Amino acid sequence: MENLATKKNWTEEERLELAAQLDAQLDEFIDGLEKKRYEEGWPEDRWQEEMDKHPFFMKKAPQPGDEVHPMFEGLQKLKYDPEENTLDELALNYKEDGNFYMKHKKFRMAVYSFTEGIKTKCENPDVLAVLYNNRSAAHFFIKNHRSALSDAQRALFYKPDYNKARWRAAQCAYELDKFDVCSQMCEELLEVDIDHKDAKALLHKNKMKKMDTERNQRKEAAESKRRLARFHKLRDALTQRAIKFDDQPINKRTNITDELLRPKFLPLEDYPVHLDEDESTLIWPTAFSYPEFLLTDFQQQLPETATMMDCLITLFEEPLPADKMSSYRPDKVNVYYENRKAGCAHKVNPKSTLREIINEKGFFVSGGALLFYVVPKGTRVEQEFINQQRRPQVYS
Amino acid sequence: MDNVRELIQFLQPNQRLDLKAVALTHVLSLTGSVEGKEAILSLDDMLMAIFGLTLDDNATVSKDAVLSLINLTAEETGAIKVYELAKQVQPRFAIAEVASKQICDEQAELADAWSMVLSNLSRVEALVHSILDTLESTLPQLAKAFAKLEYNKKKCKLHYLAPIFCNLTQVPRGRELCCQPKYQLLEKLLPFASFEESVVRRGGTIGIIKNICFDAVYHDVILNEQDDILVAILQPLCGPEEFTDEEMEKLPIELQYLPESKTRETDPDLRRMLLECLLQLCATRRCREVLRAKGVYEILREYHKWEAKVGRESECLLACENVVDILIKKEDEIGLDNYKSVEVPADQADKFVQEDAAYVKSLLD
Repeated sequence: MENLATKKNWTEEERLELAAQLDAQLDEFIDGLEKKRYEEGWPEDRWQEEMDKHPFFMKKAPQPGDEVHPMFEGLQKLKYDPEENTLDELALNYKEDGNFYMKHKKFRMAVYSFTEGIKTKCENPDVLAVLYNNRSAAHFFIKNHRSALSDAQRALFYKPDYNKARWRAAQCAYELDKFDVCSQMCEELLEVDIDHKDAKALLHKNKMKKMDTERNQRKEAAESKRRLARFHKLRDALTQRAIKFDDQPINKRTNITDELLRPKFLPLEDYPVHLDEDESTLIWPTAFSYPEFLLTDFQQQLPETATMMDCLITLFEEPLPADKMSSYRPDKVNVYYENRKAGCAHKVNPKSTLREIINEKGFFVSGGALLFYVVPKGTRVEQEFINQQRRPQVYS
Repeated sequence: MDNVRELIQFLQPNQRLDLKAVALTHVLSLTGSVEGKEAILSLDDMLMAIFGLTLDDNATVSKDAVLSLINLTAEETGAIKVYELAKQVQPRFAIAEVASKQICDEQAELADAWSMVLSNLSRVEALVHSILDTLESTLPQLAKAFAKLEYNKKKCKLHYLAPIFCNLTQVPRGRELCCQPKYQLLEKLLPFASFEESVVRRGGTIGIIKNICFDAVYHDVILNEQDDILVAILQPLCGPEEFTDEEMEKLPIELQYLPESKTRETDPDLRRMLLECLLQLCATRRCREVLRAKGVYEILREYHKWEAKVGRESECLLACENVVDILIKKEDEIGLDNYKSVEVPADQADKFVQEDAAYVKSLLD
């Protein structure tokens, strides 16, 4: 070209000739290129999908974990790359994101964005205060009151006069029953603005709730104290009578617990042994079993002063429905109890009181209750009951 | 006298520190005796010099100066003299303002000492109005300093703010400011009626309550839906005794199910003051009905047993019985709305006082 350029005095013809020559060369170059289809465009059948991926046209922000468009990645880099932004800018960018999510009520995403902002190690107290405050707000909306409170308090640490954060801290403290924190926050708000209606109302509400809660705690404490005293009296009464339990090893000091005394028979469950109002008579839950019918009657509250005859009279006030022969009358039956440890049955003297019976050497409280067997006197049923195989219980 | 006068020259602000300090120590010891106090109070120049030294840069000097002021204002005459002089001197030494500023300053070493000075000054009825005018705008701040334990970072306890508030409520304006719902001053002060650590705080607070209860204007405020004042009065009179659940439900919620560790006010004078407050509240029918509904009778029933057995103060027993005698009556037996409207002839009144005195003697064996 240089030769051509140096050559002077071009004639019109020469110029045309050169132009034609260059055209031909270009054509030749183009023809010489490899024949390839244009493939970088969007395929017709998937253009919509591609459109959604393009950062200019996308309708939804990519979710964390999605594969993103390279152009989007570039934009992200511009916005989030520590090399492209100062720490303050970076933190503020995350704040903007968080605020955007807040506006669209995506509070979890907002928490995530503000957290990223806090993680930028930005040291500007104002920016940090805003980030913590906003994250506190996001937490508050999803009822994470504990996190909301601690964030609000951190915001106040960075910016002591941040009343938005203070007000939220007060609300969270109220929800969390941190009455003293709540009242302190409200007081501080009222110091700045004596007419802060909300703070005044919350202060009052907080006081009421505190009073109520404390009263309930005191009441609960008083009640559990009363329960304990009652239990101790019961325990003393049981120990004094040297009552034996078949769920407990012999010859060991019986450890009386609520669990030991809880009746294991369902109908008796709500009536564990207890002291009567006079505080000297034990009231026992009792089961009367009829081996003949495989049936059991339950007496929920029998005073230990009653004799077995008394019990039988009440028991047979109405004849047993299964007793077709009328053989179960108070004077026509024998009552036994089993000594499961020795594996034998003892006959009960109907004139004995329950207290005397329980006191007998072979009597054990079984499953928190008294258990008796009732059979018609001198019958096959009685013989069978007595001769029934009983294996002694073995305790290690 | 002349010896005392000679000290003045050493008490000037620009004087050598060691001379100032020694002279002031001497002055402080003088204020401990009646004669010394009289001598100093008669020397305006001496007092002015002391005023000047209260704000001295040296901590020992300023402390001794303020301590001297406490002693000098302990009696009414001294308090008036100091207050009036402080007003007249040029430039003016605004003593109440200085005191309140120091009390409100979290970092002030002398906050307690200044609160004692202010307590002494405000005790004098003749000065209260003027002091109240000065303090009015700082009352919320003072209440805050009082209510927030460990407000002062230099370990001042600020217990003497209680008698200050008590003194201010001597006059109607003070009571009015205290009861204004806007600042909720009273609400902040009341809990200290049962503040175990300091009898000064407790006594001052109970004094405030008494001042307010003796002003019938506030009876309706006291017995409204919030039981704050009633609770403050009753709490120190409550013990650990258990009530039946029905009785318990009547009591203000803060007084329900008190723990076994609950004790009663140990100072008989304060117990008597509280009972006198209740008696004042018994004046009108509406208030009596409220008191009955809130279980005051039940609390006093237990209190009376305790006072007879443990407290053993016949004045308190009488004060308790006076309230119970009214509460136990049905309204149709009482048959009048306001006890205060009853006129008692002078000779009868004397007779009652004598009868009471005789009865008090017979109360305990």
